[in-house]
Amino acid sequence: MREYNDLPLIVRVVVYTLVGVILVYLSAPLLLVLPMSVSSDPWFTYPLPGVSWRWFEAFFNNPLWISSIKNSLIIGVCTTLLATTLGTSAAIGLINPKFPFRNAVFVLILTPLIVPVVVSGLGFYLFFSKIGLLHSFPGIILAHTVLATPFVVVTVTATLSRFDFNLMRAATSLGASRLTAFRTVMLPLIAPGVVAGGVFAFITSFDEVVAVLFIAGPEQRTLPRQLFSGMREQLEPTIISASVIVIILTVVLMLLAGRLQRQKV
Amino acid sequence: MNSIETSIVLPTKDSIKVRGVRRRLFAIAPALPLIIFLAAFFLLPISAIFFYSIQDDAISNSLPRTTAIIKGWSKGSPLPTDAYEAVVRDLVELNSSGNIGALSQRVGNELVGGRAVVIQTVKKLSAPGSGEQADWQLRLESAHPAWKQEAVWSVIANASGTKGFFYLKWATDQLDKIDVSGKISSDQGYAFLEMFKRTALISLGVTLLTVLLGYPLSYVMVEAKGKWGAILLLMVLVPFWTSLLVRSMSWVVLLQSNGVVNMLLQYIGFSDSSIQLLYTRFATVAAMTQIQLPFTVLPMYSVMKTIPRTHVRAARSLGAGPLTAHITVFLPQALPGIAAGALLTFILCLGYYITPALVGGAADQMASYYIARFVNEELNWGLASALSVLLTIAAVLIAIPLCRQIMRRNGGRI
Repeated sequence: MREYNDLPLIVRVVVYTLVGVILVYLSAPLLLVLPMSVSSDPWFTYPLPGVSWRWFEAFFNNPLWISSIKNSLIIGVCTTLLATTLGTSAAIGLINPKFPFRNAVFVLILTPLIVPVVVSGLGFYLFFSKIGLLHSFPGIILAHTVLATPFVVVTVTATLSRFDFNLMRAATSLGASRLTAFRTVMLPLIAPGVVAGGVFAFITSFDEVVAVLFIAGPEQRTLPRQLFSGMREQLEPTIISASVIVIILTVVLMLLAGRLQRQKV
Repeated sequence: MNSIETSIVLPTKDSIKVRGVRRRLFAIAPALPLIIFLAAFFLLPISAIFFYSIQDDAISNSLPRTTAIIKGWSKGSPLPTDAYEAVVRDLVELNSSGNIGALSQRVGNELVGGRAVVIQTVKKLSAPGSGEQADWQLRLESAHPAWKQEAVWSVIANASGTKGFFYLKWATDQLDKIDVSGKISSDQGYAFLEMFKRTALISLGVTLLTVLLGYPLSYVMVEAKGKWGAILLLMVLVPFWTSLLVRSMSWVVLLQSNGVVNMLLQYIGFSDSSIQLLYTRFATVAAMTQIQLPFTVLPMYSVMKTIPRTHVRAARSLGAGPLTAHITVFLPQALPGIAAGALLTFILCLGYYITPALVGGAADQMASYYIARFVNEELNWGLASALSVLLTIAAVLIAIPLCRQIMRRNGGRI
């Protein structure tokens, strides 16, 4: 059968070549740079003179990097818990068509994504310095929760839109209280979406550097903060090995989130 | 039938009105914690920026007596006689509290050399033996001759309130800095309008490039059969998930003067010596386009995926050529996706900080860089706030059509 929607061969060749070049442009920078983390020389050139783990060793032997990873994990986990709780709860409210000013509330929840992070960072800085949260872990966790919650709300809302609310009706008609019905019926079914939202929240926090630049003190140096100052001052291969660790962690978590999100509700 | 509505079991005694109110409250309750949280930790911080952008009380706080006296004075008329005494008393008091920084910075912001005028005057006035002069005017003018001129007085008089548009004017180049003699100074400092223009121009260029590169890419992704579709999607998603910081860094490594790109250029004989690629406009645009490409592609891809293949086939069977069918049938249906992707990228580009800061030239930075710099390095919160207000208004205005479109496409759901 003739494929009517196909473009002519010559156009297709041009398009495919162009797309090939675009894909190289998209992937090459990381593919070229990440292998340098196992180079035996500190020069960022090819061919690699040899393979060594010295930069990873340097990373794990440096107390600055270790404490920054610890800080990032503490902030990331706390942000995830807070953002997932607030976001899931809000999504359950917002999925209800009876919700007044639903669109306006949605816009409010999404605004942290629209406002440039530097502006939010300045806002956190001015506000937190007034209420004594500047240079503190709670301050960073609150700021990251603001930036991460939109992702939780969007993800959980998408999952809830596929949830069959008759199940809740069945549970309550059989005598379960609304809270019990939520805990035993709804939550287990939407759990994959909630976990996916939590992963997005974690990565948002784990990757965030701009707000941290504004509101963190030296005690709260996170991994991205440490990376950023390293990149600005003296680029050395340890930074690339730290980047490899960040990338492996985020990509694994994202693949997990993607899989969870696709699960049937 | 709506499932949520019917799932609420209420006593039949309740009147319909009460029921409606209770239902609404019931719907809001789970979202309330987040709404309160965002009001407290997002809306309040943003309002603080708006507040700081019109807050201008450094002079009236530092010189309370002077500003009270000089308030009604207008340029050209003689100064109130007790103004000199007020300034001397205010400055001496300020010095004993050790807090001349805010005043000298604020005067210096408007008056070239004003910082030195304030600091030197305070120093001379507080020096031992200077308190013997009975003539206030002579005492002040001998501390610094600038007080003989109108310029410094008019700066004080203009800022005698606690609120003002000083920083917003500064952020839009509407402020004419004067020198001590009252002439408009040739040294106007930053050119913020040009900076905003540059921010918009770079964002527009990057947006355009991502659309031009993203369109064929999303088209091929949609058309790809079987495994290829998944592979292509993954190739777009993995950079999308990867840390922006790390992706910017990879460009720094590649574009260095002895980096991979320069090596390659020399190898193919394009140039003999290394070319300056890093810290140029080229580096900023190349890196930002690469980073933003997935953001533009994904909305395009998701819209293109919903276009029925039968439409193009129908056009072809009715005699349209392949390109005509594509342009008249496929492209118009893909437009909402293109618009969404382009708007998203444009808004995000306006706020870019990390990438230009790492790969861009010092004189070629975008709005966010200046905001961060005025906060973290120059401690000029008023100016940083004014720039933020302008940037936020621009981003929100551009975001409105995007929000509308998302709402419409998903039937109110996001």
